[in-house]
Amino acid sequence: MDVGLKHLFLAFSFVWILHLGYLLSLASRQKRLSEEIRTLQQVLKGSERSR
Amino acid sequence: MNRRNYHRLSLILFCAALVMVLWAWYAVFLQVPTERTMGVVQRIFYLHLSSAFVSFLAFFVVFISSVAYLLTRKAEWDWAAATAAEIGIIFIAAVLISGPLWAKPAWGIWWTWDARLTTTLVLFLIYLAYLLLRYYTLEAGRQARLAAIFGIIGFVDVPLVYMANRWWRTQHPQPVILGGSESGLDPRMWYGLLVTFVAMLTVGALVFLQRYRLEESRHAVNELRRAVGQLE
Repeated sequence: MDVGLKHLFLAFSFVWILHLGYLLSLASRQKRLSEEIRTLQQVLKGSERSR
Repeated sequence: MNRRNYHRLSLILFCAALVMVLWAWYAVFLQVPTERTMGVVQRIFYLHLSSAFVSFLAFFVVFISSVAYLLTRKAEWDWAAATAAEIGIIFIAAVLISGPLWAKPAWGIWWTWDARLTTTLVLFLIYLAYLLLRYYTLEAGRQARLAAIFGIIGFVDVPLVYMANRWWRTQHPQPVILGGSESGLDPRMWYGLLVTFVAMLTVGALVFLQRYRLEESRHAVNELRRAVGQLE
């Protein structure tokens, strides 16, 4: 493969993998936080009911 | 923003980003002409320059949000600054990855310590330090204040990066946009650049929305933890 073409392919691959990886990491961080919010809300609700 | 509007806007931005990215690939690989001296590798230019523009825009948002935070002390400005800084780092990382991959076939070297490349690396390191500062400063109010001051001072490097190849002789090519009488682009190359820039901008907007939502959720978690802590 031509060196220029190889570098073009590598540049596009790395950059789009970087963006995709970042988006996926955001989604996983958001999922963790949403689960924590749900758990904490349940704890709060449970304590209100027991009062 | 309520949950329903957030999901609606996310979906719109996701569709727009997908269409624009596919359009940009089509334009860059099939529509723009091949540059005469560098050949096919010059097509990295569209990705490289668009990423640089979006990173500058993100750092400008950090600057504006930091000023607004110091004036109003509203947490939302601090969240916007943190969000924009992280996005700016991702886009400047894309510049620092695509640049050497373009430089090696074009110049014969991966990297050189000229003014443009060095100031760009420094810009990346400044905002990396900004994120570390946010991460390691524990008290929330102090963290936001320090980060805002850092965000304002750090922005000084952005005009330096932009002007570096105008003020000093660099290995990096002279500017093709707003670079004087010698500069300019073929109209088809302008088209490729514009489409790629809009694609990067929509990706940036989508990521901004997701990352800002994360800051909101983090705040909600802290509030709930405090409320649960008061119960115990």
